[in-house]
Amino acid sequence: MPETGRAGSASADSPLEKVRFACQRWIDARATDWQAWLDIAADDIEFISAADGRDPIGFTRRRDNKQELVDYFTGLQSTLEMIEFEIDEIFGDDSSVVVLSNSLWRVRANGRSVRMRAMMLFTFRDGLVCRFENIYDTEALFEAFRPLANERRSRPIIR
Amino acid sequence: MSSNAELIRSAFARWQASRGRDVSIWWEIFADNISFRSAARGREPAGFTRSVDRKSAMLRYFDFICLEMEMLDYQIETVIDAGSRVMVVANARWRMRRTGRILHLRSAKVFWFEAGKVVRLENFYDSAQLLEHAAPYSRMPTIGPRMQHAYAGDHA
Repeated sequence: MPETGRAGSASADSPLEKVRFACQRWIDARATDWQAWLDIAADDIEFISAADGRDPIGFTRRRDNKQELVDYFTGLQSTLEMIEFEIDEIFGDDSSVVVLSNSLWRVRANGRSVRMRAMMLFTFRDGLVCRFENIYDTEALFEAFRPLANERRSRPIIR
Repeated sequence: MSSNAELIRSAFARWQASRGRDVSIWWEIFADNISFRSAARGREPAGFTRSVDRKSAMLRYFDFICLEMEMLDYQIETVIDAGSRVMVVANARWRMRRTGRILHLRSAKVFWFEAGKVVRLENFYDSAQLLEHAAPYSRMPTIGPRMQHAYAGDHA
């Protein structure tokens, strides 16, 4: 996992190491335990996801505090199952950390899988994450929720 | 000697000033074997976003952007300077030339440097949003609540 940055390989309480630790805990739990994320989140954390709450993944809507962040992770867990998650790169500067990742998820509602390339940006204030933004290939995610062509054809025609 | 982050800031300033038409800026800082990846991954109707692995193809990508999209506004919000990696977070407003639709696109561009040149570039953004706006058929873009205010008053 390449890493670089002004934050460098700093101490365990550096922003970069905090994010790395929380992310690894979350990966180890296959996204079923997000306490490590909450431990480094400011009470008024702002969370933004590229899909922005559009149907059918309403759980991706903007969140504005730590409790709402819990709601996001709960929604994520109930909607998608983490199959694989690899941190490809992690880097940053004094106040920001960037994680580039490759992951594989299963849509619980239909069993389909989706590979995701994502960029997560964490902004720190007073040692805690005050902003967390996730930008990824939204089309790939939406596509995994759409009915397949043969499913669309087999739908009964309602007149 | 300019840092990588300063090079990127300068390149964006020139590119913005030309409303995206001057691609010579990128010619100066891209390595011959630059690899490029864009979130939409060449899906139609945004085929110009396919991956490329050399400078000449990369510059054609910028030409295609000019052909397909008119830059109305481009604001850099953050530049993260991590030495050999530089990430730019930007908010842009484009007019899709084929459909006339106005696209508000937030993006994160990661530049990887080696020996003062960009050897890799990856562009993260809401790919569904781009494809919706580029689609030739009439369909209202699906936007979430966060972006709804940004579209207020836009009439393509």
